[in-house]
Amino acid sequence: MTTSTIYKLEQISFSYDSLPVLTDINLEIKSQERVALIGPSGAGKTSLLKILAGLLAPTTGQIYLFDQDFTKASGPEKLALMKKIGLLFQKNALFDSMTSLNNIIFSLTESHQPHPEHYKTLAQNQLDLVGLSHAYQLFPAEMSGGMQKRLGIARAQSLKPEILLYDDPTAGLDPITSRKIIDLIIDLQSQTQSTIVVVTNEIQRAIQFATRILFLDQNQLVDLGSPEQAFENSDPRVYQFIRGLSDGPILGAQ
Amino acid sequence: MINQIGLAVIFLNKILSTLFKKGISREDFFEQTLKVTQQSFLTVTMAGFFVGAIMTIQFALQLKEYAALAYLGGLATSGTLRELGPLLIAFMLSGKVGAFTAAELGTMKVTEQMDAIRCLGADPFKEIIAPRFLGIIVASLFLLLFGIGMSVFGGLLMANIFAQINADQYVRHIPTIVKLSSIISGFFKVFWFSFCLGWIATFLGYSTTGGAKGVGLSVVNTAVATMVVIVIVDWITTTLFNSVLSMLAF
Amino acid sequence: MIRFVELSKSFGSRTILNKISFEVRTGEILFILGTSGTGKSVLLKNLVGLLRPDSGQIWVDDQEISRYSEEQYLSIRRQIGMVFQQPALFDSLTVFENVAFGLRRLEKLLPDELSKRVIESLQLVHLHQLENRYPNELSYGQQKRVSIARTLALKPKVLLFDEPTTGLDPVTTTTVNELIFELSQKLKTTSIVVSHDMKCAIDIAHRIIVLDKGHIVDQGTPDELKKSEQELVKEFLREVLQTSQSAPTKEKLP
Repeated sequence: MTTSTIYKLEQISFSYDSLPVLTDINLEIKSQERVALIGPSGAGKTSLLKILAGLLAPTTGQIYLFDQDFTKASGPEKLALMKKIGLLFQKNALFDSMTSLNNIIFSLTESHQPHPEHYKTLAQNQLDLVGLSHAYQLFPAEMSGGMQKRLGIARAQSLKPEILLYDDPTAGLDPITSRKIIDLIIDLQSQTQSTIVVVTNEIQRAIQFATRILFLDQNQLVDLGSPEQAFENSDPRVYQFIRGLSDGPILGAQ
Repeated sequence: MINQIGLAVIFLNKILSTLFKKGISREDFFEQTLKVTQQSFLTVTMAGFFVGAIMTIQFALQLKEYAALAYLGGLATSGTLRELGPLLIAFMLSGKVGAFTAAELGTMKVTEQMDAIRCLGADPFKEIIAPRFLGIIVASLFLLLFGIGMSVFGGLLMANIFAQINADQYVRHIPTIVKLSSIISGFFKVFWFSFCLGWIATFLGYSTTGGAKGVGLSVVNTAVATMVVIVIVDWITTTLFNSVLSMLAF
Repeated sequence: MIRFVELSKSFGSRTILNKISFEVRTGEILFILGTSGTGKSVLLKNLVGLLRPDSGQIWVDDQEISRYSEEQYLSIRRQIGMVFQQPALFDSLTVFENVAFGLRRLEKLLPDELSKRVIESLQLVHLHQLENRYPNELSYGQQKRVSIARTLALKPKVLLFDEPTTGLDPVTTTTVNELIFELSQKLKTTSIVVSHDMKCAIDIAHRIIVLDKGHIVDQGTPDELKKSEQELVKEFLREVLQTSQSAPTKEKLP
């Protein structure tokens, strides 16, 4: 098992409407890491994820992806890099008018995967992997929130990305369904040996999932290390956030 | 489909009984009427201007052959008032006010604001839906007036440029051709068009389910349904009006 | 004081509630727990007449209310205030007018009495000097508080909370949960909270009812449920215990 560097972020800053969202972020992500990105609402977690996905350009700073300059890349070069990234949005972005099987076939077609004659088998295999074997002809509207999430994961996986970015994959799901979704993500990651970054609001999920936890707070990124190390961190803001305490420097809903 | 129509009829019954039995507040009604008028004033006046201009140019070509250019103003105005004006205004409103109303009510529905209103002791029909419905109708009647005014102005300019007819000549024969029946017909049509528009937009908006996607769907459905219904209602009102007129002529 | 008797509700062919019976005791905080899509919110909406049951009875004091007309429900809605899952604030009205909305319609108050009641309600949720702002100028947590204040303004005897902490970050979750507890202590209200957060329930509930597939599968005090042998309850508890194992357990509220 080799661990090469996947992402390298140097001095990344990002402003929105001249309001700073991210300031001087440095980060390195190695292959096969499972990174959880946590932090108070509005701290810029989703912005950082979109920057990693190449959907937002940082205001200043460099991103290296597989040792290539992702910030400067353009045209076919950037496209080739972005093909290595799978992104799952909070709302799954499924196509309502298509069955679950066709949702996957469509994304295979759109990304011009080789061997169109195998698309159907491939798509069915993906559904089997996420436990939706029997739901292949259901439409998204006929599926529960958990099933829709599974389909979203299957579709993102079908393109065999080396990096998977998840924006709050368990938002709005009950804890039992949430746990199963995270189990699934971990399971698929170990099969495909991909690298994963998950943004989440739920500490339980971060602990369950991550090999490394990153805490984004007040525009700054703090590396908390493993879940165990995160709980030993004595920084008052980290301490309060991880335990979900109401007393502390972070003002909840004030 | 049939189920949907049934629900729409029950919905209309609720609006009408709210309007007639409970009444709505004067402020709510004025606010909505003003809002619809403001939203569409510019588009309707512009459309009115150009429709008048186009009608005049078209009629001028025909009337010239019969040496009847004196009737240009009357014919163009009558055509606009009886048919094109009401139809165009209704289409403009369905694109703008219909879509806006459906989106507004749809958003209130999916963000639970409608439920909140009921829980706070208010009646969404009295405070939200009926004022919008009535506001759309009354504003449409106003807008028809403005639109027709602008179309006379547009026609007049074109007549001046292309047919060398001055304003006085243009206006002189308007009363000879535009009878009371044309005016009634125009307003009658606009009333029913806007009635259907207000009904469909509030109904589809209020029946929205399924988050932001549902709101989008309601907006599209409103635009499509109102256009189709307006054309059908146009055919019905035209037929009805003409048969009533021919009966009265005997 | 509130009693559900064999309440059933279906949407199309989907049975959401199947002959549910239970009672709510005056002054208690009752949590109704269940996985997503088990009809917890439907239960609350039936109580305030936003939905009507297919069969069964709902008793409030000595009256069966499930067949009340919309007008008759007005008196029920004055006693039983509902806080929705989304803040559901009226965008075009200021915070003050949002909170005053129900008062203007249900109570005839003089202007200074009205403004006193509004300010009092905002103080109860710890929001000060925000009366003239519009909802879109507030954070999501603040909007949530305003919506609670709007319900409190009518001085209801019973408060219903529909998934009050879903989608909030851990610190905001705890502050909202503590607020629910504080309000029930201060105002002596009865509270029914629909949630899938077992941790919140254990922290502040007097009793917990667990719903699954339209049935009540278990109920009792937090301590009783901790010993439950019911599968679903055990799964819910696993979520709480896992976090508490890695984290020092949070002291119970005063």
